[in-house]
Amino acid sequence: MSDLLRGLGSALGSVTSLLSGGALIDAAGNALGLPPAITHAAKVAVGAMTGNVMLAADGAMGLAQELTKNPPATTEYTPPADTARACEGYAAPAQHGSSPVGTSGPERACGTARGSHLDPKMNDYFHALQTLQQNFRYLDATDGKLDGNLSRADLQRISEDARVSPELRQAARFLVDNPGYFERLDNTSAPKRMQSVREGASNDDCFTQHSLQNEINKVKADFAQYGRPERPAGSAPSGSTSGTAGSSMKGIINDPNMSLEEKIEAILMALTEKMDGEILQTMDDLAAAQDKQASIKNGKGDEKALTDAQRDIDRISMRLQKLVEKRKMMFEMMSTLSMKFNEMAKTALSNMRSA
Amino acid sequence: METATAEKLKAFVRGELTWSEVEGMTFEEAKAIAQVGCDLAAAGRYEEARILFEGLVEGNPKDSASRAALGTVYQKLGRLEDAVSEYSAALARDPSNPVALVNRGELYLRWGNRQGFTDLANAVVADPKGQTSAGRRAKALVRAIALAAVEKVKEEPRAKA
Repeated sequence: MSDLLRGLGSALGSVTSLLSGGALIDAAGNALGLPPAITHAAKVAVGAMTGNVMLAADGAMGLAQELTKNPPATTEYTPPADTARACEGYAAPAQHGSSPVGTSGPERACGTARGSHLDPKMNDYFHALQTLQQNFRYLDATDGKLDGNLSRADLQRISEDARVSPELRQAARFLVDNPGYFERLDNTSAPKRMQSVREGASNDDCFTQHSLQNEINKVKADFAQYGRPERPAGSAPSGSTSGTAGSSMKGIINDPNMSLEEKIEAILMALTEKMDGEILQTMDDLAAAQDKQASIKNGKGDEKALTDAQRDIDRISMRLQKLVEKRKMMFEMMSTLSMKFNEMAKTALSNMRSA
Repeated sequence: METATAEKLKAFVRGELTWSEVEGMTFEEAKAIAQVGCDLAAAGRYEEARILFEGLVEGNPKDSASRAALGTVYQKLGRLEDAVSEYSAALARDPSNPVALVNRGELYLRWGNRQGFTDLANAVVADPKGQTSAGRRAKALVRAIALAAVEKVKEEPRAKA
């Protein structure tokens, strides 16, 4: 301790000559350019030294203890209190969120949406791209021919086609209503090697399934780099999820008492329930269409009305079939996930046993 | 290779992304690794702690806390120049990092550099409640300096007489 003080004293040697007169400490503080905190600390120390001897001794002891308790170069990880700065240079965490490790540092974990300046509509764009990509062949065939690409005019037609499901119409409508996003997709249409051959060739107002996949990857990369933009409060995601379903999903995702596995299962369960509702609704529609057809037949209605009724029945039957298939897939996915989670737990346990 | 990965690698090459971002390492994960590094250093296993913190700094050179922690490990290993360099790099990004301030300040004082006083003073200002060990040490050092200064002043009139 005395060595340290001697060392500090010698370090101060050239400075203490500045000290003179009554306002010694203030002068020292000013001369050294020290902030008021230090000058104040110095005043306290002087008080202890010039007042009571016992007090001074006690102060010196406390000092020695404090310095012993906090040795030099103690390794500590002290990130800035500002969360955005603390998270700088790190990837945004996954959407399901994670709890902060330890107690020091920023109180809030880096949010995915925090700091992301991407257009909130990017979420809807991403959703529309995925919907179009997964239903590309069907959408391509809605004009009666499979030419392998969709144009702006095709999207316009699909968005107004009552035979197409509302989900697909909404995805097409998004790109029609947002020409900026359509252009973005349009410009990624051709592979790079094609672009180098003919500049601007990709900007032909149509896109393929391959370009949709490329664009999905680019949006994913944007999300990974800048974080996923937060959806404005009150706006439900476009697509099949309704507002209430969306909020219940959010409730599941934000529930701190559920594990990740439980959350995934609960979300799949909620989706399955929603699909059950849709299946029941479609069955009702089918029954109504069959009743209509029967009444036309009984009333000896014209051939055209009968053909229309039959077409309606076919369309609703197709929709019902697709929904049942989707539900089956969902159930299989749930079962597979459950199996995988069990396997993971078993592997972890066996690893712990062998460790 | 996936397009998203390729895009990230290109962004890394352009200096727009850190390697941690390319790898998808989150701040929480980095903090957990840093905690292990701190525990290793506390146990005197400085070489292992150095490897961890050097990895964190390589992954994200913007992480001022990792740089300051690496500085303390270098200081313990006797690599004082490297330590000061890391502290300075940490302070360039976060001028109120108490670990970097107090340790650089102490090293500067040992070398007779007056900048050390300012660093210590700033450390007290950065951590006024003494929440970190560095902050508490800064406070104690400031008091010690004040005591030493007073002693010096008291001795001078006696010497003149």
